[in-house]
Amino acid sequence: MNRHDGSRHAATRRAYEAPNLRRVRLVPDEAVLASCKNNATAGPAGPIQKCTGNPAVCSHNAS
Amino acid sequence: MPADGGRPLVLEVARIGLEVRAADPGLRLVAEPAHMPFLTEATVEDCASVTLGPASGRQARKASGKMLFDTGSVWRLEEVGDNRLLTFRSPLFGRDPYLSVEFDREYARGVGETLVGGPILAAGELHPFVYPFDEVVFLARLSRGRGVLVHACGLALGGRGLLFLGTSGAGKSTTARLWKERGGVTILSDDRIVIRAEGDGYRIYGTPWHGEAGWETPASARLDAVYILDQAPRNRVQELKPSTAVAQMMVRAFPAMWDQKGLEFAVRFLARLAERVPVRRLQFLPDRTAVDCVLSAVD
Repeated sequence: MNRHDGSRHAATRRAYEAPNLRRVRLVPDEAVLASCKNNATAGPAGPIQKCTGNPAVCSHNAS
Repeated sequence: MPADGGRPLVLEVARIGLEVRAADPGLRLVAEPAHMPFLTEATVEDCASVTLGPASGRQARKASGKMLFDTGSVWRLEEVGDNRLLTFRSPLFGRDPYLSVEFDREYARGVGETLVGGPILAAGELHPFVYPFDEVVFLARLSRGRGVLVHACGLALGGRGLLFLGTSGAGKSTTARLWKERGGVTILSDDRIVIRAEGDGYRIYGTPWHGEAGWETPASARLDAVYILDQAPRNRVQELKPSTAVAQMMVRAFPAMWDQKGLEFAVRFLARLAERVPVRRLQFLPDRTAVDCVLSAVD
């Protein structure tokens, strides 16, 4: 590689960007369809998930 | 909607079908209200078929294979020979399964039994499309190269599809309401959307698995842009790099967590999508100014 090629390569090269580890929040119950759904899709018995025994984990009233 | 004369119920979501037949012709098949717009009388080319009957004892068949995946609560997946056994439980109906269905590996054919007096079968009525059974089956079939189910509000605006992704509490139903108030849009769903590849682009489909606002429409639109919902004190749209976009979409998707190939497919699918469709973070106020902000970003 001659000097001319090297400078052209440097001009088009993207600036180095260090790898960046970003934490993303995953809600396991939601991700595997184990959280509550609303009545309209729950059948005649109503929601049948574990929130029936523990309202604290219910996402029924969320968006 | 009851089925009569032993006719099956066929649920169609995103051009994928799920046909359910009652093993006992004396049972009435009944769909829930949210599913009715998605029932079809037409032939669905890509359709799974399940036959459901009453359990002979006080419980549906117990799992007896190699555990592939356990949600730790309401459903499990096991390997039985070459087949896949899905079992569903609820604290309301004891420790044993109220529903078990054995499928082939492609989830194309299934045979199952369900607790008499449980959430699926009671008083001579069979309600096959009770959450999460139908959604899990669609999810498994989508993961076989068909598409990806995402936690999102999706809408069609003059033939253009806009997708607003968010986990519970992010503002999906609020977004649906704000756009509905603006008018001129079709809300495909306020909670679950299927994305499928179409030509060089993507199409988003409404599903019956709606959220709190209760909007679901069996319609679709070409996907024009994806927004990651983020409630904030002011409105702002920010383009995301493809690598960030994939991570943000992945945690708002429902990939087949139990299947390496299915997971890899979802990552590849979303990575390709991020290269072809704008993915943006939408910081928004929960009022109509958020709609104006998005419209200003729509080309």
